[in-house]
Amino acid sequence: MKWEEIAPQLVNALSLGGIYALIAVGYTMVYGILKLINFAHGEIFMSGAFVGVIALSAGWSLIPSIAAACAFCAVLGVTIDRVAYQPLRSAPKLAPLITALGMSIFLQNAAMMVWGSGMRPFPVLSPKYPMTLKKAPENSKALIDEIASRLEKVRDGKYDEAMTGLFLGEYRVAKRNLEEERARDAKSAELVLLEKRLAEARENIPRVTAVTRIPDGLLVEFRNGTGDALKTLSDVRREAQQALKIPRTAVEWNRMEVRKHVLERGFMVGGVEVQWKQPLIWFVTLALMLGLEFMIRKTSVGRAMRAVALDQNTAALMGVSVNNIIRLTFVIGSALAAVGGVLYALKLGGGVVFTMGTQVGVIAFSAAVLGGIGNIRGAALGGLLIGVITNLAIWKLGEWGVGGVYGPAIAFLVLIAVILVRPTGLLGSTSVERA
Amino acid sequence: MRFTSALLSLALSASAFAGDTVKIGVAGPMTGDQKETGEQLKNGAELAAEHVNKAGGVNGKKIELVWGDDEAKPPQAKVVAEKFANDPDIMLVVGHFNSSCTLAGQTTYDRVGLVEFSPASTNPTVCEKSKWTFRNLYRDDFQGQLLARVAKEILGAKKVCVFFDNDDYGTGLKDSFVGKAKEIGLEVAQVEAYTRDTADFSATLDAFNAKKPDVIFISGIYNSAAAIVRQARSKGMKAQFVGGDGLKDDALIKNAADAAEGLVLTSPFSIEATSEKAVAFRKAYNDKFGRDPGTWAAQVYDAVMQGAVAIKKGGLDRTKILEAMQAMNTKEKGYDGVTGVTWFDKNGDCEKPAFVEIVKDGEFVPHEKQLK
Repeated sequence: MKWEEIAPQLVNALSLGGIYALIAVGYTMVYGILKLINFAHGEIFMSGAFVGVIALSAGWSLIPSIAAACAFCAVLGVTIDRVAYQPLRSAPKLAPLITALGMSIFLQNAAMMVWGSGMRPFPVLSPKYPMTLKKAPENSKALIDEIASRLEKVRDGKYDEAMTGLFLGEYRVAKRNLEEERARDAKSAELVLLEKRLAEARENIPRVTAVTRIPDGLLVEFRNGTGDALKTLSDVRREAQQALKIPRTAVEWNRMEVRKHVLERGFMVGGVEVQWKQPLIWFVTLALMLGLEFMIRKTSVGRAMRAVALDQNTAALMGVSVNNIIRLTFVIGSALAAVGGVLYALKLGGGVVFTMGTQVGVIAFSAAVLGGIGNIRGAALGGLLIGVITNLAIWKLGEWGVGGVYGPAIAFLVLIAVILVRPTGLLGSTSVERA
Repeated sequence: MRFTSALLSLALSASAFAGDTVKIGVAGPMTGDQKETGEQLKNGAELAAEHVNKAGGVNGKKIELVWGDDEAKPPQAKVVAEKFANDPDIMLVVGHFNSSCTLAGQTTYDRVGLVEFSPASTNPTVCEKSKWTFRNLYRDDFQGQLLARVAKEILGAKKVCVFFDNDDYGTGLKDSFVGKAKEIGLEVAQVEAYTRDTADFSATLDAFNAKKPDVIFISGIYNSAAAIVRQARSKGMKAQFVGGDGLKDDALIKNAADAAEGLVLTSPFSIEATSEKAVAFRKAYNDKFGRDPGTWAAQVYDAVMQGAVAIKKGGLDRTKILEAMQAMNTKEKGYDGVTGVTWFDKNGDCEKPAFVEIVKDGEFVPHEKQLK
């Protein structure tokens, strides 16, 4: 086992675990207070991911997008409680369980109708610099002069100025113009010289190889000389970069092409590239967990929550507004699920689908059970464990030829084993202190 | 005598009175996560029906299309198949799209006796199991072998990893790819499955990346593929991606953004590389729907057209239509359509070429190198 193999897996595992923990907390909090498994929680997570991706696609930056997702999900969570659970507070425990399932199915279908059944792609976060494509000068000499002057700028390191004037197919235009002029006057010494300069320019100038229309402008690709057409975009970029001798760190290059968004960039640790978004996920998860822990243990609202979890009637007699506390529980749980949703979408970077809540929801619920349902620290621990085990199992099972597709099954085997030995879960207890 | 002929004419007029239309069932993923493909199926079939009807229909009757939405799910395909099979007016089914769905519907069509003509299913076993099943494109054993050669001969790969969708299409294509790859001396570093539910491919992609493959072959459908290439590129992976025709949908490019750039894939149809008929089809399609047809629109168009020919020959009799399909067993007797000539061997398979394409500037274009 090499470090280069383990490190990316661990990085991934921790992120996945953190996200599961965020969602698991929502299950466990609602259970702690209402003794209800909120099966619609997976759908809240999915809605959060959707709102986040929609906001990011609209050009919002990450924090406002997460805030929007949290707000949306908090309202959604409270509404679900008001519509599906509050009327059944005194009903047998099975009744709200059924409405929870119904709510889950309803929300999934509503999401499909509102947001569509296809995948909603995660936006490319890098800003794209719009680029004006200039018309080629009529006169060959002027054109070649311009190419030459730009070449000078490239040599001087003024990449911005040099590149922003480039346009698609300029070499071809220059060549055709020259050919036409040569046909008229074959012996002109000036034209011979121009031809030479054009040939030189062709070798040296990074030429536009692709112009892609993107939502906020044009993405322009450069390449030097003639190359094999069969290369990935990153290869083309690297080649152009090398041809221009621009150091990797040069912001000029980034500005010219695309300055990668920090969340799309990575940094090197011991020869392994880590995406910035991964530590961001860890940090956000950890901060939220600590904040939640502080709120529950140290604030009066937290005390009220613990009291309601312990005994609703007594808490009410002590002046605690039980319904407000329940609402607050849904607000916090749903907002955390929303953060989890946006982070999950960010981690995948692929896109979100309306069905994504089901599987992740089940896994996060299992994480809550593994840690001991009703126990917040347990949910965090359980989420982390399930994430790490799943990830490592996918990797190792693939390595051993069993098939990584069975990875999640291993996580569930561990869950079953733990529950058999400790029915209350890892940190769960039969004692009264919950929430 | 007079009485008999009167009776006969009465019977004839009665059957003519039974309906002025001939029904063809069209089955595929009209909704669900492959609805983009379903839209192509619908448009292609509609255009074909319009063309047949404009030319006078089938034996004086107009074609009426009946949609069957299988949502790309085998159990739903079974439901659609039962519906079609029990509607006596349906003379032929064009569909299903996914191999797993075609196979799921097959038992029903086979039991009842109704031609199932798939425009897209490429799993090798699809046509072997029932005489009622036909298709108008190549099989995956052919496609997979071709893709292995593409990896080696066009892309110059030495080491490959394979990521496959755990259904009939993905598995079949993967098997033939891996078989051929080993035969021609490619190192197959790792073969991994995923399911339609898989959203997070990180763990497997990291494992692939550690092996430094030249090529990663995705044996699956465009949706998952878009997520896979997107996640791989966001990890900074450099490997060249290669895929089968299941990747060929504009949604791949839309969802993967520039991560799809440079992806190489096979396609049963390439307008630039085929006939004038194809160009005319593109124009007609563009006039009607305001966009260029995808591969599957062309495949379905041809399937409905060819189905109409079979119904013309066989009349309103499912068994006779089967015989008419079976009779198209040489190139001369085959149907010359937009995607080339389709004729069937004894299984109902056909021999048709595959084209190599590449995603360039956000579009599928023919690759400059093609394999014979």
